[in-house]
Amino acid sequence: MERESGPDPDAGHVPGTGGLHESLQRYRHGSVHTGGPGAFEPGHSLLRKVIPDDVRLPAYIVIVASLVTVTELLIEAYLPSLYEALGIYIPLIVVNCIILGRAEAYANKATPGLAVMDGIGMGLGFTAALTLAGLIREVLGSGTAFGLQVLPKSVEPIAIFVQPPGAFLVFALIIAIMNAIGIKTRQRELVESDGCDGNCAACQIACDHPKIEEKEEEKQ
Amino acid sequence: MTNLLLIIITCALINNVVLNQFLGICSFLGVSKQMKASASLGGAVIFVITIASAVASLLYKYILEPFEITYMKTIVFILVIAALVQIVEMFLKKKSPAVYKALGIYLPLITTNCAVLGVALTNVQNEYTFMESVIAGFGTGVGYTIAIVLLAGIRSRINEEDLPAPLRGAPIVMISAALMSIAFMGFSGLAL
Repeated sequence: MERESGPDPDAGHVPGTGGLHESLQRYRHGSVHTGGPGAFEPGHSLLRKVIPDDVRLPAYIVIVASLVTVTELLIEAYLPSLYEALGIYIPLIVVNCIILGRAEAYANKATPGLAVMDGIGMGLGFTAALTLAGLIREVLGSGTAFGLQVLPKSVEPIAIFVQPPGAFLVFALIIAIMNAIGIKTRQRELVESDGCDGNCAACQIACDHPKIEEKEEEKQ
Repeated sequence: MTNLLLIIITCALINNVVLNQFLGICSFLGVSKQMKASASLGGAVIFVITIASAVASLLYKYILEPFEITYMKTIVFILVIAALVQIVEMFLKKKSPAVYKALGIYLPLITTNCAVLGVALTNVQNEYTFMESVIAGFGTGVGYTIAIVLLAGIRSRINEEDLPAPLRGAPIVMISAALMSIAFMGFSGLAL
């Protein structure tokens, strides 16, 4: 997921680091999420004029919880094996920060159509990030990808990657790689996450950059 | 009694809510910059989780089950939690404005802290009694507090170090969390 596009760089990766480690399950969990915001956001968007401002958060949570319950019952009925694998992480989609974050930041201002597209986009980004992390963990941790053997059997898998610490490690490495690429092109992400790094020349570039972006938007 | 003790140790250490089940990561990474704020958030989370587990357990047993609407549990639990967090927020705002300010956005976000809803749901799943639910909630809150305070301690030292540029910020925090997680795996060796 592109970091700037999310409501918060840390948001929403909680189920991503979850107990499931097979990439296929990750992918499916991600798909559940793609359906997720895609369905929730028009709900928020449609009701934005009806719900009083003071109680909007409880109202949003109830909408999300209802839809998650429907999704949970559907998965339980039609995909029992997936239901078993995802376990507690399905009802916990209710408290996924991305959904509430986008409802606050976008869906309560946008038209339902745009909100749907935003939701689908967010869900796809989430699915991609989840699948990537799951794939890396599965290949390194058990030598398979989507359940198929990819590493030769003679290679001993690094079991730590399918265990809880592996989730933190893989996410740390993915973010570090993204940072490294970002630093090469522009120093922006580092400055955002860490304040002044003592490199004034690079910092200047970072400060100028949003202005460049704004100018581009104006042109459009 | 032994049973309750086992539950509290399991929830706090062996099955640590953050390092083993990945619940509540948002605030775990977000608030752990300062030791004081971490400890205060830990306290707030212990309070919310314990009360939420108690209320959720009672609601499930005396309302959801008799009326056979257990599928409504997610909706009911999240509303109970949201109301509780609101109360804690009002209390802190009045009694301790400094802590209220330090916690900032992460205080209302306890509502969407997966740990709170997660415990309420696992209690139901494990068919815990009322007392067991309360103890499990308390133990989980303690586990969360241990994890976030430890990470805050580590982070205050990391800030002094000269790190490779790409690792600064989120990556090094997550690597620290990974090492803590490895350490906590040692607890699964406890013969219970």
